[in-house]
Amino acid sequence: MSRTSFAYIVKRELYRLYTTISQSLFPPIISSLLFLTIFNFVLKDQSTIGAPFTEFLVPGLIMMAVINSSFTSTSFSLFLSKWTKQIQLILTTPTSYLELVSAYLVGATLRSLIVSIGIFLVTLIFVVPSIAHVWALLYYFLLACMLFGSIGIILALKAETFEHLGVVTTFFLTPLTMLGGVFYSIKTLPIWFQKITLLNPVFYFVDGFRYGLLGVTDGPLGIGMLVTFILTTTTVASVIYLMKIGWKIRQ
Amino acid sequence: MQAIEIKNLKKSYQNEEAVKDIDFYIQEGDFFGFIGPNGAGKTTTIQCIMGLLKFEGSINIFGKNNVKDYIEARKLIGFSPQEENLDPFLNVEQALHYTAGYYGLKKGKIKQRVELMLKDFGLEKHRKKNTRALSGGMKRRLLLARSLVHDPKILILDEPTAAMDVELRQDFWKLMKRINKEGKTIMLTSHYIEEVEQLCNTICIVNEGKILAMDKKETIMKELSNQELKIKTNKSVPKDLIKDESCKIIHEDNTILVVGKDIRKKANGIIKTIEKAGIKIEEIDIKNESLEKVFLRITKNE
Repeated sequence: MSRTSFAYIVKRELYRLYTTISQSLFPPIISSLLFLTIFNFVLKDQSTIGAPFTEFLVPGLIMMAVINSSFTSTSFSLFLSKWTKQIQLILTTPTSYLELVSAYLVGATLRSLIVSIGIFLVTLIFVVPSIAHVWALLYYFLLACMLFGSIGIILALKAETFEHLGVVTTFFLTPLTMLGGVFYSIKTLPIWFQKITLLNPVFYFVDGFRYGLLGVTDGPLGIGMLVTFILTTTTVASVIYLMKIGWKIRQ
Repeated sequence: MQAIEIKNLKKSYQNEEAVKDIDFYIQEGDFFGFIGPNGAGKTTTIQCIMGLLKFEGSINIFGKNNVKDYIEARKLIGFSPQEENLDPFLNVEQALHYTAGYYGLKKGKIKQRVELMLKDFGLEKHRKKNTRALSGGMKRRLLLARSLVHDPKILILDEPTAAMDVELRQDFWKLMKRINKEGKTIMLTSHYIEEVEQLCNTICIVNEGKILAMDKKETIMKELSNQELKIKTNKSVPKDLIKDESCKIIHEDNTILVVGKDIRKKANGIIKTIEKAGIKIEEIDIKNESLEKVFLRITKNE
């Protein structure tokens, strides 16, 4: 693998983030700040699965931003490259498909990391969260970046218009995130709804990340680790395969 | 050595064959003109060489297969596409810098090559301008500079002078001649046949996915081009005066135009016949057909 080619694609991804900072970095931080402000006033004294509500909210908000940032980073960047035919430049350079996928995923991870740090700093206005299990934080953070970054790549390859990207965000990603236990403990839900929530992969990412930050969990941690691992590895493998065969980019 | 070697290249879109089993090679150091009407299969062939399309057959770049050894093969080629595909987030300098990076050039070398390209293509003044803010001609210059930034051995140019004004085109010709002289192999497609005639040593004419003619420019011109004999007279030449099945004879008022092979040899006889008929000759002009006329005749089967 030529390291410079990989490095320059990552660098270009970060530069794109820098040039679109008002659209990519500030919105998730501002919306997290607003959520925290509102919930801190309204539900400050409530406790959820053994943690004060504001603290309970922080990992969910960060994970929600990680999922959205990873997905948006890869889907928008790759789709725009297809749209402007700039992808042709990359495809004619000595860049391997593995390098290309890795660079997009690393770009998505770095963007998510910057957003997460931004949100974490904002939460310090309200709470000072302790970190219970660093390994769990890293595990779920990295897996979320890989999974949703890969989904973004698949969608960008498939999409023919910008509208297609919007449809997936509106009808799949946002509902899955909102119903993934970011704002509530699933134990407050009826049993049938709890069972449905366990089919939502976003729930395991939120729950696992919350375990890493607060040390409390809402669902089965072992199953969550397994589900997120299998889902992420199969999706990343699929993306690598699709890039290798040039799905939708090499006719 | 063969810079590009294409064997049994076939490419279909759905059920339509765009390239029909073509073979050709380009010698190292050649300036190769690849011409044909719209939809002839030129861009498809180029995109197959660049690995942008899947295809049947094999393509080797200096002996490296462009599918199996694609990493090595692509390092050897610089490509300027027909359609502008500049990165909208970058300025001129960055566009060159990043491209050199994608090709794996080291930092010091990148700086040196970027400066050279900015200078060679007259882009120094525009180095901080975003690619979207450039005029059509400037975008073309940048595409060319970008295709050369990694110092490739082969340069593939798909309609490089579209949107360029005459002055810029002349500068481009000079630059391409110089680059070719320095040893780079160039493959050029252009709608300006005059451009191909000026620049290229070898010419390949394609139509409907097939090669119609390919050889050294001089050979093509010798074997395929006709000659035109134009005789202006004081009165019109009777239509049945000059009869030659092998030539095309066009009468226009007081001018007769004879087009065909070996016209120089036949010219004396034609002139004598006209004079014998008591018609005074005022002007005689004999010239070879241009490549453009050869191209039109071959591709339109005239």
